[in-house]
Amino acid sequence: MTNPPAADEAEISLFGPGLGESAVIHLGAGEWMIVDSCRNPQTKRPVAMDYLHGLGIEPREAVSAVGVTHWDSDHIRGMGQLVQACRSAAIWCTAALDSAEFATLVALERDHPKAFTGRLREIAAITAVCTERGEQIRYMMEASMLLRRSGDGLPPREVHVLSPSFRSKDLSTLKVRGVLDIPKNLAEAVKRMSSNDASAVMMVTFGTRAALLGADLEDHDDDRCGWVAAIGRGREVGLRADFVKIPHHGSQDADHDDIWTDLLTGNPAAAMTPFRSGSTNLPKSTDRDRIRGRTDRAYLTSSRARITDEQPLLYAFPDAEVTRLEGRIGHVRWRRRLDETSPWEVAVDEVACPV
Amino acid sequence: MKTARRRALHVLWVDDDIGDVAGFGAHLRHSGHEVVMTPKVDEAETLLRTEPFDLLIVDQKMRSDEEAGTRLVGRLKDLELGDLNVNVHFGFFTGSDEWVYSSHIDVGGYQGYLGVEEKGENFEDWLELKLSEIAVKDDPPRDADIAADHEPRASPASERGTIDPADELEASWPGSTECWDGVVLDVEDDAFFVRLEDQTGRFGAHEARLPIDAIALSARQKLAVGARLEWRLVAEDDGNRRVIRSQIELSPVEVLDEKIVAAALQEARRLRQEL
Repeated sequence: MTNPPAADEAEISLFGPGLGESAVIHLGAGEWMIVDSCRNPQTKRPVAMDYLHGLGIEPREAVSAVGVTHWDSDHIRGMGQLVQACRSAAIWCTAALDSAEFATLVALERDHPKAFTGRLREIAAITAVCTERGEQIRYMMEASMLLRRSGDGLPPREVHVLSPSFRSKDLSTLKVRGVLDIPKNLAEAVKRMSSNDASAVMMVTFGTRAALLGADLEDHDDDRCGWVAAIGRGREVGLRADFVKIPHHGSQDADHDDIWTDLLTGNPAAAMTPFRSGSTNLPKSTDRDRIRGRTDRAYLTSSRARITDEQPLLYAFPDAEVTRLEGRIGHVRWRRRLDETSPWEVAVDEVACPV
Repeated sequence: MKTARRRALHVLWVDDDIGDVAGFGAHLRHSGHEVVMTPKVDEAETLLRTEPFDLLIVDQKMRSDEEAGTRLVGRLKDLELGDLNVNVHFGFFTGSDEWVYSSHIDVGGYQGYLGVEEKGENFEDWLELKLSEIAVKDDPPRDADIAADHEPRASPASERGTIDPADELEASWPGSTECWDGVVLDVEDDAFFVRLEDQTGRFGAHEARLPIDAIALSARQKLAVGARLEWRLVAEDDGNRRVIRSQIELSPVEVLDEKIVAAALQEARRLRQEL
């Protein structure tokens, strides 16, 4: 899996070590996009960087966009280092971060790290990179377009943003404002803030075909938010995707029937990462059963956080439940020709597996 | 010095030749453990879905399938048999350890892995060692015991609580010192959740759910989300066994004044207006 794609090939590579996710997408003609970040425990570098270097590709020139779908730590570990390396890339974040309130939290954590758990550290790093470059973070919101390419002999490529909705953005801002109102509980309040409901979902179109990147968006009680809203935007794109990055690690809360009936073709190619932290293990066996009922072409980046190296002593501590965050990185790669009919073909490393 | 007392374990033993291992099963029962033995993998799978076990002992080669044992463990640890026993300790008792090592299913990385022993006269000794590695503990020490064991040393930044010797353990890890820096992510009634970064650079980031009594009673008021933690673990040889000594230092979370927050918000709004 160390050969780069041809100029007229699309590729979607998904990486995940058990806790962490990063997608590296070849849009064609040597142009790459990276969505979210996790870190390689051996090199301590963003896995997307290591992958591109392994293909002989320099991220500095080849990556034109980096997307931060939401600010959960398993999706942004190493992101500061990544955007630093991708000098030519436009930096896009979910619009949930686009508020004075959120900027306040980031600044407070930067200036008072002992009052927080470190959850906003990578966002602060991204902000610092943009400030240094004299650029601004761009924000992903429903109905916006991240990029458009055409006229190069390949099918036109576009990246449509389906979420967060305006309503989700407002709710996120209100949530942060509520946190700032009770500063004595800042660390705990920030720790408990969910960012999934304002995840940025994207539909990447390649001519008349498409790929759906589901981030960690979940269902929501308010139809103006969550998947109901995103599906509505997806219908407006007018295409059904034949590839899906399954949202939120395959969880039930992120699955909506209309995703599969209205936004996807039958039996799409699929990939997802697991989530293993504390007592949370996703996908559950019931999730796997449900996904297998949707498609028989789904792959998981890591079957289990396997530790093949020496175990630390902390595993021997009485009654301790220990999870390694940065285990071996698993890789699922889907590729196809940029045409109307070529199928997606999958390749996996020794850590990834079919769902 | 507190010593470990073993509790009765609920054991599942899977071997297609039960007669071959019946004596070892009897030995476990005689030691006070409950043992369920089955020659069938599908029966074992049903049991693992429905009944909680503390220990799984598996033969590797069963009915000519040289990977039957590792496949069973892989299915369990990959959540294909539900969540009930996903964290169970497991070991292989098999005719040849090569069948396990050469399996394309790498079980050595799963949490709870105890190792492989070849069928022979050393099994009882091996089993004794492995039973001592499984989480066992005296009744939780009373507050008075903790106070008697600890020698808190005040430092300018925080109060140090020494747990040794309340947490001596038997272990089979190589001797080493580990230093972990952590931040508390959650606090429950009887446990807390912490993210840990290895300061020696050997192990990478971990998360752990630890019992509350890992923190000295006198330091527990500092235990809150955002609190910083420094944790040192040392494995030492004590005669013919290895023990682990543990020391946790907790620093309280910083609480921000409302004025600081208000000023930061005002500054953020000003910067956005400039943009």
